[in-house]
Amino acid sequence: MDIFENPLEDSTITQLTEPCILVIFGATGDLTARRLVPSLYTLAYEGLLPSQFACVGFARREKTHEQFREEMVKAISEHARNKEIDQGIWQSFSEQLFYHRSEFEDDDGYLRLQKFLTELDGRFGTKGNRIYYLSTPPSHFARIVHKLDQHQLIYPMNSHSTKFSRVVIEKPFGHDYTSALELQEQMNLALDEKQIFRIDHWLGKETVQNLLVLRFANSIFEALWNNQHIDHVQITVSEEEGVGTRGKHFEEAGTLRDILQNHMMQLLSLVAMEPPINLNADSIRDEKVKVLSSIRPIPQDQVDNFAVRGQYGPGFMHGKSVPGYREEANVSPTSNVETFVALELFIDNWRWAGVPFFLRTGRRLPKRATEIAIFFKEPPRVLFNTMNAHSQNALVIRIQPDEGLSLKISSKIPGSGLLIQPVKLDFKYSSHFGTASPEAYERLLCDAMIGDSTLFTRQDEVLIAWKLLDPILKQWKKPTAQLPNYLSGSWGPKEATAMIEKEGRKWRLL
Amino acid sequence: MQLIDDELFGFCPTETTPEGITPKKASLFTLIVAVKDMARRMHCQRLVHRIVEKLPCKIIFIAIDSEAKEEFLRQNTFSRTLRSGPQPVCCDIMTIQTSPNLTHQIPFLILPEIIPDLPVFLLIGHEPWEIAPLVNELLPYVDRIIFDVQRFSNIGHFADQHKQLPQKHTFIDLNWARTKPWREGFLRVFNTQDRLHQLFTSHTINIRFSQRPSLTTNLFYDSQALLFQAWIASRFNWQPVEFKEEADHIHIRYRSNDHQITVTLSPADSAFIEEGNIISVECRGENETHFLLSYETDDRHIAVHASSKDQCEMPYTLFVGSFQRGRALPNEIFQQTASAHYLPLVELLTHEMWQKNRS
Repeated sequence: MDIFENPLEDSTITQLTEPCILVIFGATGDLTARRLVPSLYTLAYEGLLPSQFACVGFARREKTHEQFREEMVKAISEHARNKEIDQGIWQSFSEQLFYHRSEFEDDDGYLRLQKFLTELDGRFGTKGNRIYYLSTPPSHFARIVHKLDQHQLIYPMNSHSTKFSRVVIEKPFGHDYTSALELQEQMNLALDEKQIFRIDHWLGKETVQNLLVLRFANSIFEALWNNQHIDHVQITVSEEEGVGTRGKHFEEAGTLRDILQNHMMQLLSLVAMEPPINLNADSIRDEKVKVLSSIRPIPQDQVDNFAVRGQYGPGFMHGKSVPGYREEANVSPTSNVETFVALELFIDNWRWAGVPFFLRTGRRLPKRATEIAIFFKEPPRVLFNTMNAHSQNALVIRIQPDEGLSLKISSKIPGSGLLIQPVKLDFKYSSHFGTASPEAYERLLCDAMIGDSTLFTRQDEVLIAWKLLDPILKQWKKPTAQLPNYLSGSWGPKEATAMIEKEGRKWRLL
Repeated sequence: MQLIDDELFGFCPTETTPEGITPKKASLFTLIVAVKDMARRMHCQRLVHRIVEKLPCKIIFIAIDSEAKEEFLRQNTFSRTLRSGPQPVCCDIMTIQTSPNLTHQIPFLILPEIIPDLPVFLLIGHEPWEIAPLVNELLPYVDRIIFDVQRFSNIGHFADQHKQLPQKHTFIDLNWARTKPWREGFLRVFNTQDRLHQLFTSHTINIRFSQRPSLTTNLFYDSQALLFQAWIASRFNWQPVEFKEEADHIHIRYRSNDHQITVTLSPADSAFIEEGNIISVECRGENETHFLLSYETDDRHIAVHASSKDQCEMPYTLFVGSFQRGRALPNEIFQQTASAHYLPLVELLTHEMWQKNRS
């Protein structure tokens, strides 16, 4: 399409998704049924899906278009935000939903796909635009991209391009620095970085996006957002669930790779980054990369001083006994894989010098919660030194559940004495804006169709995060006799408590 | 006149739910609603209902009874649960009913009720200058004025008055906001130079808008259709030539550089499209180009048919979402900045051609 100034264009009209065909590789998997197709349906319901659109599920199992649609309507009724299906919308949406059976390495399958997509272009006016969503194990990424390229299903990026091809991939992007680099090199053989959309679905969450607004649209916070006023930062991702049916995956990944390398490093970079020069994707990601590059590396011989690993043993959750990690299905009875990680990191830049960032994440902890807590320095102990006024101000950004913010301040207890009590100023998204925040995948799929990569991770972010964690991964490869080291239903191993308490701080009780 | 409280809002009383959950009070802003014409009251009540379901706020509802024979000023304050579900939310509501000669007292009643630090919006159920004294009294305290005109009695007068509104305030025309799905639909359909040229060189444009047959009135709710066609004309710099009302149709002629365009607005009965909303837009032009955009089965899908002498495209559907029922409309009127396209179309409506009192 030529670039021209359309007099009908109005800045108050939402950026429009472009006509395209979305091909989901691994379409019979859980992610497609639980997240992708329900999110697409909701986008259709909200009027955000391009009118010239089709979705093709690509997978190995034998299935007709009709069977695929039947499975998807069931998935939508179970998992979509709006569970009650609107028959009119489903009718139109289902007519745009197709299934293509093929092995991932079968040339004939790609030839047939090419033909089929061209036919759909004619039917739906999708203009040859393609989005390939690789909802497959990462080991297939390079092969699928290679096959797509081989069969001209990926278009080279240049200024004369009239149609686009984009590839969306799901984490993990490698399992260490070397493998991430290798994957990147393989992808780069066929794709330009601008064509790769690495999903970290946390970045699609409303509260995470609100972090930028909170920091840079409120002058009161940004003025205090530095080592002069902030004592330390805690980022917690706590899960009640054990590994459940994901034992096999977990044995290969562990919590450091599964949660910390991606989600938590993203949260940390958003909390600590400098203001970007504008809200363009690259401006924001440049600032995130700067922060990640400023994190002090942990040498392998000092890992034990700054990192704690844990593995849950048997215990009790909500009054019921639960097995330990080693008793879970598809888990080795002698496994040394970590289900809990606590880290102390320092960002060696002007803003954050000397401020520790404590990150903890684990499974089988007492409560499901994800939050960022900013602890401010205590005021001078001059006026209220003898009273119980030692609570720090804390700004807590809750990401899930109960998305919102709370600010802990000290207040005088009413009465004749001068007693001081901490109180909370609380803001809940659900009370003020209703509960219907868009699902992260809705936002991210929409952005992929618009071509906005702001909420996707860039190659250098991924590599820097791996580089930081590589020494820990290497150190933790060594067997240890100390696992399991925390009870299911507790807040993790005592070493994690000792790590934060060594300088007089405490983990926030969630 | 009856008190309008519960009859007005029909919300549940604020009390603990059977599950023992006490509704939380939440307000994103203060919404002052002023309605002079009692016939518009029901309309504004429905609108307020839709707004608060999406965006909880403190409501101050002022009903001015223009036909009151005696002097009165009544007020009532209460709380109501606006949103049920796992996290019920309640809001404060104040209702004021007054005869016209006591409106000068209203600011004294409502100023203490405004929530400090949060935005204050004034929603007027007709043209703002119809209650100019009250609006002028409230202007210093409000951040945005939203008005909802059922029908322009004189289009040119509306445009002239609009141009005189104080520039430092944001005025939002709800009928303009309601045309957004259509403007968005047009942007999606006419998205290439070729397509745009076809629209530009149209010689006839027919717009149908929803209107239920009425035994008591033959007035048509044509404001949205009028604004929409003026938008197209202003985007293409078409020059107004003639404005004519004939039975239930409006005919408007424009001149472009080398051709004339005739726009016709016609009412049509629709069971599923709210009165006043556009139902379809049809454009015909050179080379037998024909575009028909129409709501088909509901107000979420716009079906698009496009053809010319040489080709006939497969019809397709644009999903424009539930603009009226969802959060889009409240977002549009409270959060969006004013569209840069609006004032140019008002400018176009100041042309002498529109200066006619309508029956």
